[in-house]
Amino acid sequence: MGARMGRKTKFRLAGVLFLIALIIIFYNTPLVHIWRRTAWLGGGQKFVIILAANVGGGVMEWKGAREWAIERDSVRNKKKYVKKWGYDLEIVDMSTKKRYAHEWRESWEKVDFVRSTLRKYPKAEWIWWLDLNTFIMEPSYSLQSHIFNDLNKHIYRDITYYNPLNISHPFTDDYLDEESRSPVGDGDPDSVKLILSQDCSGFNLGSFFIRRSAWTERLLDVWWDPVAYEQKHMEWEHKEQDALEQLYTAQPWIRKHTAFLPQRMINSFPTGACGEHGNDTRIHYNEKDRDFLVNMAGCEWGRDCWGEMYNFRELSYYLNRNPWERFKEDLVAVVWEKITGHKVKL
Amino acid sequence: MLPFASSGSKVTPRHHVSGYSNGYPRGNTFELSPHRFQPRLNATPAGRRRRRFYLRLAIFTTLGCLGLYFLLSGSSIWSLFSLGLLSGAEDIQLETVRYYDLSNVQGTARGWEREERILLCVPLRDAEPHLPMFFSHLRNFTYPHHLIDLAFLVSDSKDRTLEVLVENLEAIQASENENAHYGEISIIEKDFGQKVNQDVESRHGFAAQASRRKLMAQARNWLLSAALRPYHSWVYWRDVDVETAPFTILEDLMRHNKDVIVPNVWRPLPDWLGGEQPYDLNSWQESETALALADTLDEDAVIVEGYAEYATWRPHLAYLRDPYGDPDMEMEIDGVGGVSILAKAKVFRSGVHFPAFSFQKHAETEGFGKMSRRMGYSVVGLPHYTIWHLYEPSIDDIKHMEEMEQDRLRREQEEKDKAEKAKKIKEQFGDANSQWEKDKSELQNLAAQDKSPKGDEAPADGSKGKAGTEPDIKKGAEAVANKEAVKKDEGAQAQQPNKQS
Amino acid sequence: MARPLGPVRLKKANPITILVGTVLCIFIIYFLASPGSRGFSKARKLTAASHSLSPPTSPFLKSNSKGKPSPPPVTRYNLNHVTISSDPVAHRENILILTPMARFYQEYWDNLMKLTYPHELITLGFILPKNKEGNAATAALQQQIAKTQKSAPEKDRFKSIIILRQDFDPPLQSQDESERHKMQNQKERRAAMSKARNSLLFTTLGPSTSWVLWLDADIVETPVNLIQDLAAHDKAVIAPNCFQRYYNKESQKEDDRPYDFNNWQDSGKAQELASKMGPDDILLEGYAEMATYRALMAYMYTPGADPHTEVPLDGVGGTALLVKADVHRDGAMFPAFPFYHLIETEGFAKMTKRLGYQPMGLPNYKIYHYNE
Repeated sequence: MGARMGRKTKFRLAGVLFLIALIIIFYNTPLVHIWRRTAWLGGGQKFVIILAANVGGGVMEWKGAREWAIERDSVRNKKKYVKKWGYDLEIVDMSTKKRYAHEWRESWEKVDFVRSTLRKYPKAEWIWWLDLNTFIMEPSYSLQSHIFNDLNKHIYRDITYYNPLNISHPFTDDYLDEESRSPVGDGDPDSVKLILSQDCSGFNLGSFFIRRSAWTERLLDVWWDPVAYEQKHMEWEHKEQDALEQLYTAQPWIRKHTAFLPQRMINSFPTGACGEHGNDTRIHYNEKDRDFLVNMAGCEWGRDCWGEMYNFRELSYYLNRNPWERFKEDLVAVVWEKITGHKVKL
Repeated sequence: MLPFASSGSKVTPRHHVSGYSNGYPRGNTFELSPHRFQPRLNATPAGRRRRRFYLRLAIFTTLGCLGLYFLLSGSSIWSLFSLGLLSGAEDIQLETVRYYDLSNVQGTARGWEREERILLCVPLRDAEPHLPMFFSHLRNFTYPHHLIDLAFLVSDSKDRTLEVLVENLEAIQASENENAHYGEISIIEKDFGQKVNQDVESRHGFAAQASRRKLMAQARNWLLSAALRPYHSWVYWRDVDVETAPFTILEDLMRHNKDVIVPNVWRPLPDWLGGEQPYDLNSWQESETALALADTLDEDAVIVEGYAEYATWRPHLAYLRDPYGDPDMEMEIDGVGGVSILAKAKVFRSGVHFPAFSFQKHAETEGFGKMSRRMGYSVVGLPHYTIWHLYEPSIDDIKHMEEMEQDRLRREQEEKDKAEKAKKIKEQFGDANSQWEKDKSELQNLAAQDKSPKGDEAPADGSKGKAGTEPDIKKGAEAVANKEAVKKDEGAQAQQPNKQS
Repeated sequence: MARPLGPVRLKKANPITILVGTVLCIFIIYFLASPGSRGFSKARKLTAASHSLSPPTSPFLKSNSKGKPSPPPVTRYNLNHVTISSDPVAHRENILILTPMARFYQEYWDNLMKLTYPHELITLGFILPKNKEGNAATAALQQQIAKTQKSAPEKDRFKSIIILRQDFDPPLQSQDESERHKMQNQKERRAAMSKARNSLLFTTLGPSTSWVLWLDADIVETPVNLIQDLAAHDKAVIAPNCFQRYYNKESQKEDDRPYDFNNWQDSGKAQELASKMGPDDILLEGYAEMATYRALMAYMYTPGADPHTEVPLDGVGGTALLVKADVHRDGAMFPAFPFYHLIETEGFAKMTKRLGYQPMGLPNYKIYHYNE
């Protein structure tokens, strides 16, 4: 063909190819970003991450240097993740307010913020709530590829698969319909509206997904039922978590649309949470398996939050270095050290 | 046509013939010359004399008049006639009319470039011990001093605050370095009859707060109204007991270009108390709970922060300090603390002041913050920009410090006693240790000797080798015991050597 | 005979020309050499400030000499010694007369000049907006001031005069009476007035003032002993009754009618209205749409009665108001925001009550407002 092409055609073709090359070089990032973001292409707009920040807010006690540093790191990590995949990030203020205090309580922060976020992002379908002490270890996993493209493969709706609370499942009462009495509901991934994980002592709401639907509205309204809470609040140390467990145990309409993910898919724990030795394969973070997210739950009681955050941050960087960085650090720096005996940071 | 080219051109003289050769005009000779109607006076000698006379008369009269006039009016002639080079007696005029345009003094982010004047207000009461520290700050401000006007209010003071203040200020104004001179300095003296005394306990006790804040508001308002002028763009309120603050604080706060701005105020603590502590809890953001609480209180009640009696659930600026944070980060607040406030003068000109009554259940500086917000001004705080207030130990702290001091002394005394006792024993008993070592080694030697040379010989009493050594050891032990007994006798009177505890 | 070689007038100079020239020279020299004003007495110069950076209530000495001015001196003001008594003349108390001015009326100035209070204790303060009307008023005002301070006899000259120009725009374009009084415009107009009053007050109050007399620019007739009469009552805030002279067509003679309805005593109905309003609404007096049923001092005038009768007031108007300087120093100002649903001078009265002072009124003491 080259022989039959005239000079003019060759030049025109070259010009067009050059233009395309320019577009690819200079507009690559924005194009990819647009692709990932659009709802009907990549689907990024359908996901909103809510990050609970400014815990305490200087109302009752100081927010010291460590708390500020943890917040900085966590926010930066989420922002980078969101920018990469085209999701939305909503950072919410968890200042202590009387309306959330257990002696006054008009609501839970989680409920209020999920509701207002659903209103603020009309295109959003799934909302992912994250506590502050979490770190996304593998930013290369997108939510779609990790969980949502093949939802049925990952979730389990039959809680007997892993049941730390020993909830009797399914319901056996005659007056309930087929769906309520089946251990897996209707088996349809589209009917799943709430996805969470369980840790060694029950439900864990440090990292969970909730979907926009009529069922969600109903749940958010009912979740903080003041009557039940009034009587139970001394038992329920974990506030909304315990309330949800109660609702799940007692109400079939909740079970129909709730699904669980294995903890290590979205909510790995570090050593020290749920076990001293950090070797429970269901719970603890495993470097070799490259778990997605680590939730340093309960680090305020007895552990070093900042130390853990710093370690996981460095680990995440180490595991996700690009080839150039790996070359610098694993080859050049090591060779330098062997030769000169000094450690050098490249 | 040239102006002088008409008849009467000078270069070429025209002989106007006739008539004037003898000086007297001729009758009615027809003559076309232009000089005809102008008899020249000084043509004739009489005319010349007359002319001279008239001239002299005129000159004398004029000079006489002028001289008389100047004498009577007393103004300086010399400056006038020498074109202002020679100045006469000092002409001091009284200026009674002043004209100011308030739109020139709005305040901008870079006031030092636009020569904007700042009024620095300092209310004082019994502040003599703090004045040296305050003046060291004052001398070092980097904002051009000639653009800063100082105003002090000294009230109800029993010490030498006023005298020390005046001394230091006059020294500054008289200093040789012209950059150190300040603008207008006013010291206002006014006693308000304050009954609460100024030590830390009374100042911070809960019951005293409302009336104390109202009196302080009154003092601040008196100072402001007496010192604010139409040419001020900014007003900076400063407490006298600030220990550490940057010298560039005026520029740093001004840069944000906000109507009212405050930094974060902490105070250093001794190590055994934690090292540092938030001090000024009067800078906060409003919360719904506090607003609801305010509605339940009566008209004259004042909500004070930092006391368990009023649970306000407000985020405090002081609790949100990140030592490694960005000092330029701003936070909107509703109440402000009074340690260091920079406000635009237009805020005060529009009527906002420190309410000496309960305004929205707040008084003094917090009421000032609320009133500014009501008027629509921007009120911000800088949580990561910190200045340090003086640490004054409370009574508990002082007691604790005394206890610690006593502990320390006691411990030292104990150690001294122990050392003395040990020395005494050593002197009296001698060092038994070395002797015991010697004895022990002797015993061992004996044992060794018995074993080796006498090992093959039959012992004297015929028993086996093993038994043979025993009496020797015993003998050796006896010998040692005897020696000990001798020593014991010597030290019979002395006490038992004390056991090591 | 010497002959000029260039353009030169050979004509003899007209004696009239020389005469005119001499007169002109004398004229010029007179104006150059004469002192700017006819000078103030030593007494006034002694009490003046020595630097231009000084309280505006005192004049300052402006020296003509060149050379670097020395830094301002450290000045002490003992406010414990500033007296506020019922006989201000005897105690030589300084008074500050403040006028927010939008239009200049000559009658206002003449009235001011007629006051018998010693002018060397009076400081005048004016604040004018920066628009066309304000500029015209400023020019007229400055003309009158120049005449007084430079040429009038010294006893008529005031101690010090301060002219300020506002830094915000007045909300209304026209100052005509009909426009001004429309109800919707009142809130913005009165807020702007408050800001003007406060700007004027707080920048001029200074450390030596004992009394503040607020006088509107359209008060054209007052008794000449106004200040002494009002101060004699020794009250924190005191307001006379403001009337307006007009030609009564029915009775065919000069008559007067009440003008300022902002001097009132509160009523239960007004309190009720206030409790139903939102926090940003204000109560306005004198409008049929908002009937407050308050007792208005304007209607309390009894002809022939004692002009020194006092009544307590809950709201005051700003036409004429004598306030002790201490009340302002404690913080009483004219709120530009709804303060207990009141604004400007009425809000000021409420604020003085919150501070513990009680405003009073003189229903039988009349002063007169301009009639357009």
